[in-house]
Amino acid sequence: MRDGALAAPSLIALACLVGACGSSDELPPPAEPAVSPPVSVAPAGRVVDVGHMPEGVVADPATGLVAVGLRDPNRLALVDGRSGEVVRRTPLPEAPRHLQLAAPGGPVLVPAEGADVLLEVSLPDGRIVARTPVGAFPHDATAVGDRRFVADEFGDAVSVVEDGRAIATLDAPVQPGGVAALGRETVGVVAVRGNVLRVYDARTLRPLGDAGAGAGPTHIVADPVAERFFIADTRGEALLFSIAGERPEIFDRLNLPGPPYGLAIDPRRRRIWVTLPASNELAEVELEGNEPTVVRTYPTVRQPNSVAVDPRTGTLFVAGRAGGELEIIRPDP
Amino acid sequence: MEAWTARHRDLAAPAAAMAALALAAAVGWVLTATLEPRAFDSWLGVPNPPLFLTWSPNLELGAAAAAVALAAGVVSAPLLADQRVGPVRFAVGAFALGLALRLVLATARGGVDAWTAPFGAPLRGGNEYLPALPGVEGLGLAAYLDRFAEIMPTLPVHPSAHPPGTIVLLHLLGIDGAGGMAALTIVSGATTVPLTYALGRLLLAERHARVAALLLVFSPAALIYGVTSADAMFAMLGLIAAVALAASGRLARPLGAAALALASLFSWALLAVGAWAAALAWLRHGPGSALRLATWCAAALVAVYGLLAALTGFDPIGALGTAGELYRRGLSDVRPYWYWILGSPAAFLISTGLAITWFAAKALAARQAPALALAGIIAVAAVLGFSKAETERIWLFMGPLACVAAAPFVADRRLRLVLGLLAAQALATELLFFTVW
Repeated sequence: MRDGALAAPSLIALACLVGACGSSDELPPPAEPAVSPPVSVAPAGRVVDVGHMPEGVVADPATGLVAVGLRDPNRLALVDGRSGEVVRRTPLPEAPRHLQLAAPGGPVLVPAEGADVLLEVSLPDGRIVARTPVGAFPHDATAVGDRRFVADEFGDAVSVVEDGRAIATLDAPVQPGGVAALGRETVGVVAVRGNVLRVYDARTLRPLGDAGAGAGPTHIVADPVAERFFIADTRGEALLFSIAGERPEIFDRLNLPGPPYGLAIDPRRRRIWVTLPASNELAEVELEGNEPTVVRTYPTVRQPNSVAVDPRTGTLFVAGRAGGELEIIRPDP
Repeated sequence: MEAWTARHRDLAAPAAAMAALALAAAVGWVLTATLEPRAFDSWLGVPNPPLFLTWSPNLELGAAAAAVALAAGVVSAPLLADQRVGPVRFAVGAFALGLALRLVLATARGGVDAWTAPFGAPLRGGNEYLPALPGVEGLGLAAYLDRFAEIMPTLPVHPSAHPPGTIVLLHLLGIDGAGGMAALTIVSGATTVPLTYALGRLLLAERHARVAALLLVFSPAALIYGVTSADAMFAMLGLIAAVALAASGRLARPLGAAALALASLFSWALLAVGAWAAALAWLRHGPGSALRLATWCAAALVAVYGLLAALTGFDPIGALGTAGELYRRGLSDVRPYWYWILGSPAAFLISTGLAITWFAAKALAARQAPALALAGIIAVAAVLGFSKAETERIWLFMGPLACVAAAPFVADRRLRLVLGLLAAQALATELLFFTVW
């Protein structure tokens, strides 16, 4: 038989047979920050001791205080952003890894992971003013007006908190990690195991849509000026840019070999700050123009997992988890 | 009088081809000059329609070296085509000449750094394949392929629009730097020269097969993009499939079909090689032969993609759909379909070489099978609009097919002149324009 006329259909049949099996249901584990080498270059700016294993940091423009999550013992340190002095340590039931402000002047949203509660710590006095039970292992929380959206990482859900109680539980892709609010309309949640960005309508609580978020996303910030989300694709070594709204989609990326981990955005100065733990560096990404670019990097303390920016002064705060340090950088203009 | 008429009839097709290229350029120039730019300083979405290159004259010391090397190549190449040179020595010599000339020409702008620059900077080649590697290294090959369709929108521009073959190959070879990527691209791209010779030997007389290979050596697109774009490697893969599919041995077609299926894992555009081979089989041996070839190709595609899906969960249909969606919402959106029906073929034909186009048009007018098959896939690709612009790179794999089509119409006495014209076009392009990839 010429050209093996039977062989070709047989091959098709074979392929159809084996093609019937396929995709694995097992999702890859979440991406983790790179393990930092010892510091080889003196960190930029000033370094102060802040406490054991600092991770999660947020700077308040109203009080000038910087909140830093500490572990073993679990504390929230409040640091004077100008002097670098630790002015208060608030005991916590569990340590946080992400911190955000509900509004300028506080309170600080503290997802106490192992305790399954969202704490709210007032500024400047550092009192716990609200303790709301949420889903399993709250990892990050953001505020839209009086509402808080909490990513329950092991509950595959987003808890919506209002007036000190959870009023709704929203389905989320597997292991929601970072969460960010874009104005008063939308909330973006990045699932660190599902590798998906899900955007919700903050008012109706309706999910607006999903978009693939790379090979291993970990953090998300919102840019109210350009109305987009920025996502650290830690495993994919890139900063991803997403359109929010009815149909979220990733529309561009900035390669960030390093890989990227912690994020902070300064909308006024059109900057995103990205920690690169593998090289103990902080990358300054300029958002002006069509193509965001890395304009410079700053040497940091060891294991810089978290960064915050004071939007009033532009001062940066980098938490060095390995050495219990907080690095205070006044970036070049 | 009859001779005069025959000569004019002989010139009609190439003259028409040149007129079409001029029309595409003129319309592009007028629209760019008069309408509000939408992308790359032009309403049509490329800097100098129909070509994706930017006016940027640059005369460095390397330009002189490149000019001397090209001139030496033009002088010596016809000697290589002499029948007294055995086939193996010709193939090796043509490969070496092609490799040397593309390396030297690239140094005319930026020195030896130009060999790696497209893949190295900024930040490991912004739009290229290397920045996509951390994902596959972090997830593992099977998990990466399983989720490839979802990951595609987050990849750099080139890998986001292609199947995962290149990323997988780089991962398996352990290539993670610009030097390795450049070596892979340049060397594999240069193998298209002996492969063109092999294809020519299957379809043409020995002398014409050698001419086809030498045309490719001096083809501007092959010389320039053969150094700067992974599409040079795709051209090699497509040509391997073309050679096997055009061959007549018992195992040739199954192997060619398998090669085509594997090649399509690197670039979906390479499926056009299967269409070219089927058209060629039809024209040379009738519809039955074409049907059998098409069946083999379909079987191989289903088998390869089915096996990959079974082993890793790779979703070829989802990946293709995602690529199409990304293309539509990208630059393609601002490039008007009606212009690029002509503009895409024009960009390909100009960059492949005006002289090659001239003789390929003659072959088309003479209804030669390789030319008709090539014209067919160009027409279908242009009408389908899968590649609006950038075809000087995306259709790089069709360059060897154009050389095979054109070769029989290059008279021996004019070979040196033709190669000289191609070399001059390549040098002028390299020195006067920034060619992006």
